[in-house]
Amino acid sequence: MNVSANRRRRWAAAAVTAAVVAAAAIAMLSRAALEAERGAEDADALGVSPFDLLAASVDEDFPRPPSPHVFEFPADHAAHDDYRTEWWSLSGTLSGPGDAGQPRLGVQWLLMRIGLRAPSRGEAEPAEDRSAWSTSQIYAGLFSISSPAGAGLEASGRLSRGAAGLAGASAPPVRIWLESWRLTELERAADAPALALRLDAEGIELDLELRNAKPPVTAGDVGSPGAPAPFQFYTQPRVEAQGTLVADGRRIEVAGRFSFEHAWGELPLPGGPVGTDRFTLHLDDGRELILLRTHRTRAGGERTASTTGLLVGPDGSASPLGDDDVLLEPVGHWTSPRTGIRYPIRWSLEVPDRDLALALTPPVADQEGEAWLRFWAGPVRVDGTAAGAGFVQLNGYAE
Amino acid sequence: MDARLFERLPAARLRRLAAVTAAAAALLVAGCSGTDGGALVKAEPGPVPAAPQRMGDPEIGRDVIESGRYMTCGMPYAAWRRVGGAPGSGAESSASRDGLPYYMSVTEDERGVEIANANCLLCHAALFDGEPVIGLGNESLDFTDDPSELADAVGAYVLGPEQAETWRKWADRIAAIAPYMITDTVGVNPAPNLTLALIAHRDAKTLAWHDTPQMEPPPERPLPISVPPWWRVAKKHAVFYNGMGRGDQVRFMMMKSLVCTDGVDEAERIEEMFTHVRAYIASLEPPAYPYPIDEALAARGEPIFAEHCSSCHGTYGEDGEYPNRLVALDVVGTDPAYALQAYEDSDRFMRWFNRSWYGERAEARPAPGYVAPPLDGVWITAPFLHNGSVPTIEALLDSRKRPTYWIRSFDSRDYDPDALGWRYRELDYGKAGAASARERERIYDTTLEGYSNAGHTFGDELTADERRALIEYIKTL
Repeated sequence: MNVSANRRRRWAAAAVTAAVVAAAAIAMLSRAALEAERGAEDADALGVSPFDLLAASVDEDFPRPPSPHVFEFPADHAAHDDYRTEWWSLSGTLSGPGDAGQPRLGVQWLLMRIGLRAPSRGEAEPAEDRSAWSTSQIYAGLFSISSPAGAGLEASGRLSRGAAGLAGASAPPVRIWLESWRLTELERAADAPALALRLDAEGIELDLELRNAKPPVTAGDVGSPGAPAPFQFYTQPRVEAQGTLVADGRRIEVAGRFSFEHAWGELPLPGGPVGTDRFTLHLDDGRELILLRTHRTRAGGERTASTTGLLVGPDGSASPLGDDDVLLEPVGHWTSPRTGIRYPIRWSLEVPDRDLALALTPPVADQEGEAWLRFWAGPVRVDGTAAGAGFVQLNGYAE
Repeated sequence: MDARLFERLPAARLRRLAAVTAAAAALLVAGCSGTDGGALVKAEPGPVPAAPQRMGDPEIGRDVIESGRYMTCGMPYAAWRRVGGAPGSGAESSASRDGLPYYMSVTEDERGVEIANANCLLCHAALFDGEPVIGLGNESLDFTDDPSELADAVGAYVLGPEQAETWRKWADRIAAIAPYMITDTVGVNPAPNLTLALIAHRDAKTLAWHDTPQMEPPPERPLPISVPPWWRVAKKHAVFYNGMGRGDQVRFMMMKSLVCTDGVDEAERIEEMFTHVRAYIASLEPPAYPYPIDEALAARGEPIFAEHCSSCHGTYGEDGEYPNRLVALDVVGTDPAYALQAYEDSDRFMRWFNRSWYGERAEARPAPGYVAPPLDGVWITAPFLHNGSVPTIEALLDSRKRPTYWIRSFDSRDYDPDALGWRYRELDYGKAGAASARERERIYDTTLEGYSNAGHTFGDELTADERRALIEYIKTL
């Protein structure tokens, strides 16, 4: 077949769909660890940042994940160390007593693995020369939660080695962790396995029990046939959560919905010129919308954007959405008094073929990741032809 | 010139304009084409006169195509190799140098950032029976998607401020031309239209890039073009199907650099390289038909060719002569849209060219017709006509066999050695009846504007036996 150039182009379409799980989170993650004030202490553990690590490994010829990939669970929840980059992401919303089920807290946990050396070189290293601390895998993590007290975002980043038990991902049983942050399997019931999520930051402890409500949607379910994307991914679009949040010594019961995503292979690099907004919407009618909006400023100052994503039905069937299918427009902005960055925080969203016309409204405007100065991540209320709750990440608005 | 424009101009300005116009006319009379006034002469059907071409070294030209710095902007290589182009990542890289596919080149930009670009061979080489044939027009490329989406996907992999700046220049150029290069159909090429889109953004004299178009851009929808084989160049007095590319061919061949080249100094540096590229292109020989030929039958076909084809397409063999004949639209009868767009609706672009640096040695001279091409190696150049609307020679020589709606596999092994062309499936529905977007893009629908398979019915009057013999002879060209 003489369509090699064609395949690359085709990949673009598949990739944007697939990148629903990719760009935004990684860019945010690395910016987080990179920011001078905050990143320094985290990076000190290794003396480098994830950005440096990716740059250093870019000349390494890592293999691509084979396509198509036969997904096997729970084994695919574990790390795929042969590939350059990998990440796991949980994001969603929580509400507490008195919130009347309205989403009040946006939560995200991102864990990224960066391979420093391609597998062949790693194996070439004599085993006797390696200490327990030696590793070719670095883990970086990000935890953010809407400030339970009101406006603002609590956010923290961590860097660690994939060695000496500091960080890793294994299955079965599922165990994904970075120091004290961890997602672990509670029980191995055939129908509804449950996971325990434990996250902490200064003055905050979050303990949730997570139950997956739908089958995973994989790259194979939504990718275009024969298009070898440089990464593989799956998403679990609806994960029911309940548990407790301790904030400033006060303990409350919380419940909500998350989505879980996991991707490995050649994932987008951080800090690039293309900004990414990510929308994870859980509709009350049992559907989910997961959208990725890429945006950039073109020469002459014109801002352009393109949105792609997935619509998952109540039965778990997934339909890819292209830029032509989705009308996503900002209808309200908020300017951070701290950084001066202007974020589009209220949105109008239409998917005409699916009779969806939605308004996305954040209960709190100020959800900027202050420690990292570069992003907004918070809950939104969904109203219109369908109701629901969503989590929105906005990235790439700093001039 | 628009009459209202004159009304607004002060008299002194008018006089200067008149003087310039007169000077331009004088230069034209003197036979000089590239004038400040942007002179434009239109050609008439008939023989195309020869123009002197510069000498070069074909071997250097081959190297320039692979590794010359004629594209001075591009995708940051580090990002591109992660997105989809890592060395050794695909079967196509078996035919490559340094692990790159043959149609990709890696050079450096002015910042010293390694950049990757598709080189000339993306469109001017193609697989046949699984092997690349240099110079064969690639009729399997897919320009139906928005390239700015690909550009943004690459942007997501860009690392660091230097790469970001490199990426931004390239991505901005792609974004500017993207609306003018999205085709309806897989396999056809939008190059002429995207060239016009680039011209709209550039100053003719300085070649400086403007983010906003300086003249009305071309229509967004590109007319379909079949990429002609390079080995025809040695015989041709003018390039492009309508013969509008007169004079020095180097300056046409280097127009790919219109994407990035923002100044005359750089253009002159590239021109020197492309003198050798033209020499390489002109040195190419067509591939020989690789299957058995019935020599006796072919010999019977030769006089049929001489009688019915040679007056336009020339004679072949030792003493072959090629007439370089521009055939009027009403004579050849093939889809007129491409020729008419250049002849009637593109004066601003033609004038730009003729007054630009490119026009110093070359001239754009559109015509209401098409040049009958040399037929060397024509067996491998399917699909046929300037818009690629006819899948085989057999159908070209018998218009009753031409499918109105057809689809093919785009597999280079799917060649029909008897019909001389691509195996195809005739459909009873066009794009409007396609079951999926993928099928719609792959259907060649000859009822669409610019896609007609009409005309060139000169073979219809032959008997089936004569046609058989003629096809056998064409295999020998």
